[in-house]
Amino acid sequence: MTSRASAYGFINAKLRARISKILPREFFMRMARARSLIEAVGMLRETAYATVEQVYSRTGDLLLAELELHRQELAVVSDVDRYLTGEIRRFTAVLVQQYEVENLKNAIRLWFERAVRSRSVEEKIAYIMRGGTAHAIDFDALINAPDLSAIAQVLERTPYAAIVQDHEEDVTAQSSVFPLEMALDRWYYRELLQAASRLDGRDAEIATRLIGIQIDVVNVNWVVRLSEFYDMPGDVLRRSLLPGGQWFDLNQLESSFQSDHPADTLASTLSGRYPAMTGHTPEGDRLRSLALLEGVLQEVLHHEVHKVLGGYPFTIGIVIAYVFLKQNEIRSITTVLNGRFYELDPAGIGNML
Amino acid sequence: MIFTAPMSHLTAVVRRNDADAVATTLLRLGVLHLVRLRDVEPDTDPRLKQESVDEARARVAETRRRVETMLQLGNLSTPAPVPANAADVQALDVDGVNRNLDGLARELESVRASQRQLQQEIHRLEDVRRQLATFGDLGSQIRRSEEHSVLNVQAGRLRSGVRAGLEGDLARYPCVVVPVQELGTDELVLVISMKRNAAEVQQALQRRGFQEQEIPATSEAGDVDVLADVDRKITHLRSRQEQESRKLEQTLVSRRDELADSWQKLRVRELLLTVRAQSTVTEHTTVITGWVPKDQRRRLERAVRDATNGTYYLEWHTAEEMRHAGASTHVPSNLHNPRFLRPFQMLVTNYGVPEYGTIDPTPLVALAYLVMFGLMFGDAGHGLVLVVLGLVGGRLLRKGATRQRSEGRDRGNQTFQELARLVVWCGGASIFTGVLFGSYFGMGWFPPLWFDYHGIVAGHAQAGVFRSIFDILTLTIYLGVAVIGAGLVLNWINLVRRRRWFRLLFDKSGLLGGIMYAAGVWMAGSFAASGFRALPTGPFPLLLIGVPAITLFFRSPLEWLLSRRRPTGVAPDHRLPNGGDAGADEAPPVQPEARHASPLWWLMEWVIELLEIFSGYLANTLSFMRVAGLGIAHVTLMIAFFQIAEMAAPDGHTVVSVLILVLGNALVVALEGLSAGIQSLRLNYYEFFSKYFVASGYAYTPISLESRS
Repeated sequence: MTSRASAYGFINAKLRARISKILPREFFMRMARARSLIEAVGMLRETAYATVEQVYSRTGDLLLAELELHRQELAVVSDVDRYLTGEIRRFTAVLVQQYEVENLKNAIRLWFERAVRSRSVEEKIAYIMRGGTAHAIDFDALINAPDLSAIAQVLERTPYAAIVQDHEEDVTAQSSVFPLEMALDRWYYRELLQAASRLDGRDAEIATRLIGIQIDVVNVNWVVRLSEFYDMPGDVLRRSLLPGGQWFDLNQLESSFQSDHPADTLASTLSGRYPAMTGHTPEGDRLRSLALLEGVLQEVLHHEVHKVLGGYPFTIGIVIAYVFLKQNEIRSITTVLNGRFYELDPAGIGNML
Repeated sequence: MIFTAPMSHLTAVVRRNDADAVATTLLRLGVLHLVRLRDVEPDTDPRLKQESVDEARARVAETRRRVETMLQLGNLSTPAPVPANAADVQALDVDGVNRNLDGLARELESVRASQRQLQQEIHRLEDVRRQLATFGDLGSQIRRSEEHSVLNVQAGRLRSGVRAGLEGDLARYPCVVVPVQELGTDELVLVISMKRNAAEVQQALQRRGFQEQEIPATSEAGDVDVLADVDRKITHLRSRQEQESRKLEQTLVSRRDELADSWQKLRVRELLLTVRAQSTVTEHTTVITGWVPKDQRRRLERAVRDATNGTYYLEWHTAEEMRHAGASTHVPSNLHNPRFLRPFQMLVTNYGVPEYGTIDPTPLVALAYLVMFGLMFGDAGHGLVLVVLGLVGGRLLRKGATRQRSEGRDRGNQTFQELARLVVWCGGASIFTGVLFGSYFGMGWFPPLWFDYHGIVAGHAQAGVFRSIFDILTLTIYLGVAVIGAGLVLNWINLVRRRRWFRLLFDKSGLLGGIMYAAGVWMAGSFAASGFRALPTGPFPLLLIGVPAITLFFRSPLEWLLSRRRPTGVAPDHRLPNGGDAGADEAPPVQPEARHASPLWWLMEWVIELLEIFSGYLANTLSFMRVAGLGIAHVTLMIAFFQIAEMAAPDGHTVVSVLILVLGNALVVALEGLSAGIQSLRLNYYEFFSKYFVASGYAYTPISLESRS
């Protein structure tokens, strides 16, 4: 059995060096203050995202530049995979699958827009990421499919076919792909938690904790969306949410969903552990407070990631922390570029980072 | 060169009207390290005000960066800042520059919009192309199109000249119209679209009088290469995008002079505001304060006199005078080494900046580093390879830097250029020691001038002072003693210059520690000389080790007594000669109750201190044996490769054996070169610097037109 130092020694040094090059918040603020989109994108020239600027300079297409950012994000995670072995590698392989799941969800949304809502999707089809993930999926066939059964056929050789078949009725009944999206996410997080449980004790603990907080974020996000758009019975909600949250179990989420002040119920759970972050428990209407709580959870995740970075170096924590920080960096770039595109106020963009 | 350069503190009082002219002069000279008056003397007259220019400076800096971005977008280099006329700089309308930049950005955005439109067309064609590609050669399989779930392929007649209009109608959809055959006043066309858009495409076809007919056989249709047609269209659209891109560049190139001029003025304005931000003003005067190398005083005085027409007041003080005046400041350290020592200065500053007034170890590091490297990597041939690599690498890096600057991208590879120079130096040291050891790519082409390293390691050296590996190990221990001894002497010099009398006596690397180390070396030498049988006898061992060890016991009680005499604050010898307080490595402000008054505690401190001294010095000295270790490894590896080559070709050299030798040499140069470089650095940092280097200084960074921040 390889020792922790030999398993993580190289990747730890490599990723820490890369983490030190992650763009600071001041850079994003400077981008946000750019007086035009072209200047904001131009600032990426001297960074690791120079190719994003090149794509934009060649095509003038911001969405294509964003697609390039997503490609880089996928490359970042896949690249980490190269330096690992055994269960650790299998864990990162599952991490890579989240991009396939996200891509699949995007493609299904386009299909739904086109086939069910009869809306034009011509302008969006080009921005689906093709290739680079675990399964060869014909996204064009998927988007052009007449119905969900045909989509299941397109996904025949993937684990997603069964999920699509299982939720065909829900999608038709609710006239929404949201139940299917939730099911795909549930599958992904289940796989991830299983992969985490196969890691050795210390790694399993760290991975489960960090994934658990991510699950909390996703669940709170879903509660927000479900509160806004659906009148969902409690038991259906329980079945829909992701198990394995770090701070909120399904009972808490269900009761918060049914209460008038859902954020208060959830925030009280966090306040003991993170008093500084939950000091100003979100107030306001039900939805706004839940959305703010989602922000608090993101901060909690950030805090935990930095705690992992400051702790014992030879664990899976370094891999998860790096992936999280890179995702955060790329998300910040996307946020700023979109903010500039819609000519939002720099301070407003800053709040979204 | 041995100590940091002496600095003088300047207080310049000029008329407010002349302030910008003086600041411009200072920027041109580039010798003043600015400090705020209040940082030096917190209790200044309240009538002296600090100008609030931070907001204005941030706005100018932001605008300057905007111009830089525009220059970069046009692949234009950022100009060098020139000492513009102060009046011109003052007249610069920053809002006006921003308005111009907004206009330019709008112009550029419109180009990007055209590119985006073309990209949408490309997307549509690529959508069709992806589906066509799954068919292979469409011409031969055209009839099978109905079987495909995504594409819709229709053939039909159109009146000649209608096709262009039809293409325009279908521009919103992924669709291609391919001419197949002329049929008198009509033409036969293939319309390939997506099934999802069937209804919309059908409507457009009907409007243009499209008469559908059977899809012709390939032979009837002629050579229909739809894929190539789509590719041609995509290529054409891409080239139009490129044209738009060039148009954008041309727009920027045409405004190069305007942008460069704005950048220069903005940069100078930004720097002037930086000077103002650090200055203090009264109603009619501006007070500029900072540190200047002593040898630059006259030059600066002349320049200020010229800029103010003689209406100025300058006051100069040495660091010592500032301290006596009770000023609270930290003097910047100016390392003024010749150009050729810069690679070693880089190694020093990578560790830390020496405190002002202390030893600048750069020349000593150069000597120690090269001696250690040479002993570990003693081969003239390998040294030559390093020299060539360093020279070629340096040249490529310089070229790269020049190219990046011309493209408006200055990534600053100065550190790597210095590293390349360091490699050249290391190569030189290896050539020198290689000649001394008679080693040339592991071969003895010429007899050694000193001793036969290879012969000793291989076990066949017969003559000379050095005959065995133990002799080499002993040599490196002597080297260690010399380096550590030099470190101790340098520490004493530093402590005397800093007037740290207490530490001079009681520090681990102070006089008592030094005496014990010297005694230890002497005793170990005598022990070895007796064939490891007897330690020296007589009163000297007791005197040289016992007396300093017992004297050390008084360190803690004395510290306690001194702290009692000074209720709070900083211990007397913890005051820097330059007026500032000691850095973090020095003793913190002392609270009397914080010092333990217990004799038991003093005893424990004494025992631990003694253990640290004995084990520390022993470990430090033996650590130098790694120099021999690396040198022996170098030779051993070469011997191994020669033996492998000989096994491959026992009867003389063959291609394989030569290849083994070449690869072996390359491996040794790469691996051993890296190891020797790292180990030399480690010995300098941990065994040499730890004895004397006070890295609590901060770098002298004069403001100038070349300033980066």
